Amino acid sequence: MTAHFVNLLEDLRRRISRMAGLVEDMVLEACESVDQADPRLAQRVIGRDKDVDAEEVEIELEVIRLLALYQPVGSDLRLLCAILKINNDLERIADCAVNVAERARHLGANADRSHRDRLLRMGGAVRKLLRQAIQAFIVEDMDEAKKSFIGDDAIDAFYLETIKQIVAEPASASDILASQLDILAVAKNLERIADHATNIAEDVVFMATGEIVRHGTGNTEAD
Amino acid sequence: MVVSVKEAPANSINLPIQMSINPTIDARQSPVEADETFVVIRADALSIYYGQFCAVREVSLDVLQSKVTAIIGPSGCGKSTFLRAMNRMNDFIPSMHTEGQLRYRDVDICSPDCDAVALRRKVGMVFQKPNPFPKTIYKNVSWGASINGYRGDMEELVVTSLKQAALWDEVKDKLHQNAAALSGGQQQRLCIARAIALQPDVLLMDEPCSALDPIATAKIEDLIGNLKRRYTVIIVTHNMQQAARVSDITAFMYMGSLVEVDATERIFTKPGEQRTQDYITGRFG
Repeated sequence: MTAHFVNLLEDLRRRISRMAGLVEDMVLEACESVDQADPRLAQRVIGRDKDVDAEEVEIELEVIRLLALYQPVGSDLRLLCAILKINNDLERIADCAVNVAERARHLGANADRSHRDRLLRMGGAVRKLLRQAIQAFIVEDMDEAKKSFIGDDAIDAFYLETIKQIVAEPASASDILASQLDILAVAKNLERIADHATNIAEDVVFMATGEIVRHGTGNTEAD
Repeated sequence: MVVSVKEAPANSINLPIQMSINPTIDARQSPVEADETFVVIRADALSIYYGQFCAVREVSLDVLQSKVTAIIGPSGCGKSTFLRAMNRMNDFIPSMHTEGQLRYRDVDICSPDCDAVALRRKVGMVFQKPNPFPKTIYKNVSWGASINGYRGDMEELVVTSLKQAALWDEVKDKLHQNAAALSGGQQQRLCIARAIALQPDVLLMDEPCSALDPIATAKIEDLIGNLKRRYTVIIVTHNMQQAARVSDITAFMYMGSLVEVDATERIFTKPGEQRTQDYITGRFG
């Protein structure tokens, strides 16, 4: 039974790693759709969301099945709890990528280049953060997970800078205003992706050590 | 987990070898007075040998009052031997001898001066398989008290014991029927009622649910939760989920040694020792 259970855990771990890869691709393509103003690329991101949604449900059902049938404890319990939460965060990241792609379709080639460049730099930083969080999960690397906590501050700074720049611009015509709203929405969704990536990194710390580091507390659940 | 413990205070209730079992004078029966940092049983570098074989190796453990302490570990790890030492049930094995100390309150359990029969009145035991006497339900509960010269209201004692064992409602109309007619789960609760009737201080349970079905097991587990308000409970179990459900503190033994003892919640989520982690997750044992 134990060897079988260990194999099932490994299958699940591989499965969520594959889903993480799919979500990473969606974020990359969403960012590229902003850069290249390519509606077909944006549409592809939107189309892949249903795959992520279906996989999220399948993974959740498998976690529930393993909890019910094997009643795991210790590190196995922490792994399943972490997978349950990471699964949810990945699905939300995919939703954010879809939001970015939808805004990219509206943006077209009209967006101000300086805003677009900032969004691209922000997108690059977000993808790096997401990669670190996913890599931390795959190899249970605490150092990699902790880098994600630091990286989130830089993303927040990009988002605030975007708001500041738009607010500083003079009152605009309605088509420019629509473009500004799209830029803000893209920035907001990138910022949300970074938040979800940070959540993943926090879940990795819990999975590996049992410590809950959410909300900057660093408290352990047993204290 | 940090557990601060107190030594037995100078005016604590001693264990006189001739104990009264009159409930009116036994302060330990009052749940409101339970001090959960008080050490009821203390093992200090206790080793137990069967001939040359060391079954329990230098175990040191404090059992706290009004807590449920679970002892887990693979077969042959010494957990039942350790449990049985607490009320001298190992005395029946001729080659058995001990080293180190095992104390119940201020009584040295291992000392030849300790009256094992008197000790067993205060440190009762419930076994793996229900073992009611081939007598009526009423006699099963009253027997121990009557042969120990109980002077109180016997009927009240029987009713109270059956109620505490969560069996009263099921047997109140058939107290004078043979206990053998009860189901396995009812018989086990009858054995608990029988132990309670002697008004013990500590209840030792050696895999009390291993012969029971899930419904009877759930009733015993609920009962353990209620019993700890009045008694200190120590349970040996192979069922780790049961240990997780019913106990406050869990001790993990392996090859005769105590590997780790901590709050149950911590043992089953974030144990400190790799061997504990490997055992609870089924990697060995």
